[in-house]
Amino acid sequence: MKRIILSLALIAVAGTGIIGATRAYFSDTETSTGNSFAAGTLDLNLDGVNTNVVKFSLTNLVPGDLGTGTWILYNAGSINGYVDIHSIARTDNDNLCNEPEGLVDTTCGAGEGELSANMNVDLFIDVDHDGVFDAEDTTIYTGLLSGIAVNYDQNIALNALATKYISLNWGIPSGAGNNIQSDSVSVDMTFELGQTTAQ
Amino acid sequence: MKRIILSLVLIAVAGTGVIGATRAYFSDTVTSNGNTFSTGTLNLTVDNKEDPLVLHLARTNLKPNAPWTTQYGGQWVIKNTGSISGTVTVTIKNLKDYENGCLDPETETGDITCGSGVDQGELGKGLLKNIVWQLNQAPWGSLTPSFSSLTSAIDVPVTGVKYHLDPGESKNAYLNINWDNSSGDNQGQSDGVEFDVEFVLNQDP
Repeated sequence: MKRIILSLALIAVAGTGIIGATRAYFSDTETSTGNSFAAGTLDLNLDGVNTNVVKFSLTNLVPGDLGTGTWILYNAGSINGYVDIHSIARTDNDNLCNEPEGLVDTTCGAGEGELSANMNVDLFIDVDHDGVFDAEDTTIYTGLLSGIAVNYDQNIALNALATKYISLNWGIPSGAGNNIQSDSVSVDMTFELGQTTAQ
Repeated sequence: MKRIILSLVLIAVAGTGVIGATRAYFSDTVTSNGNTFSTGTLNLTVDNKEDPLVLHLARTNLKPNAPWTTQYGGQWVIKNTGSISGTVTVTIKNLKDYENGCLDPETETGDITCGSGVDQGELGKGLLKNIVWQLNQAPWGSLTPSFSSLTSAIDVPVTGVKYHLDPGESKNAYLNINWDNSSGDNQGQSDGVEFDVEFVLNQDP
C-alpha cells in the first residue's frame, strides 16, 4: 500500500512538471509602437497674406505714364512646390466717351475700351528683386496688355520657406491718343503653388 | 485559389490609391484680382463750347490809331473740363489778307497790290502789329513769342505757363493786335483780314 501511494505521488509530481513546462518556454517581445505618417504642408502667401491682393489701383493715367508692381510669393509650407499663373482675366471699359475721345472713338460702351491695346507690359520673374526688367530676370510675358494669355504654366520652383518675386512693369506710350481718355482696364490673376510640375 | 483572390484585391486597392494621388496633389492658390488701370481726361472748352476749337475772326473797317490806343484782337475763356492738367497752345492759321480794291490814297502811297487774291492786302503784312497773346487777368502778362505782323505769326504755336490749366480751371486768353499810325497807313484803306485761331490743350509732360 505504501508503494502504491508513493507511485501516485510521483505521477502527480511528474504531471505538475509537465504542466509547468508548457507555461514557461523561452520567449522575448519588443514593441514597435508610435509609428506615424504625417503629411507636409503647401501654403502660398502673396505679399504676406493668404487673401486677395490688389496690386494696382491706378487712376487718372495719361500717355507717358509708367510704373511697376511686384508680388512677393512665399512658400509658408513644409514641402517644395512650383508656381503657375493662371485664370488671367482682362476687362476693358470705355466709361463713356468725352468730346475729344468721341472724335476718334466710336466704341464707347462697356467692354469697348482701348486701354489694354495701348499699354505695354512686362510680366517677369524678378530674380534680383529690383523691379527692373533686365537680363537677370525671366520673362513670362512681354507685349501689349491686350495680348496677355490666360495661363502661364511657368513651374517656378518655390521651396519650402523660400521667397520669389514676380513683377509687372507697365507703360502707356506717349503716342497713345485721345481714344483712351477715361478708359479703364481691370486685370485678375491667380497664383497657384502646386506640389508637382504637372499641376 | 484563396491567395490569388487576395492578391487581386490588394492590387485593386493600390491602384485606387495611385489614381487618387494624381487627382489630388497638394496645391494652394492666392488671387490678385481687381487690379485696375484708369486713364484721366483732358478736355478744353473755349467760351463754354466743346467744338470747334478753331475760331474764325474777320476784322473790317479798321483804322490807324495812336500807338497802343485801340486794339483789334479778341478774348476767349479757355477752360479745362478734364481731370488732368495741361497747357493751352494757340496758333493763328489761314490768314487771308484782302485788298478789296485800291483807292486813290492807296495807290498814291505806293500800293501796287490791288488784286482780289488773299495776299493782296497790307493789314496782315505789317500795318497790324504787336501781335501778342496775353493773359487778361491777374497775374497779367504776355506769352512769347510776339510778332510784328499777322503774316509772321501764321502757324507759329504760342504757349506758356500763363496758359496752364488745372482740372476745372479757366482763364481769359487775349489776342492783342494794334494798328499804330505810320506813314504807310493809306495803303490799308478798305483792306480786310480774316484768320483762324486754333486752341489746343496738351497734357503736361
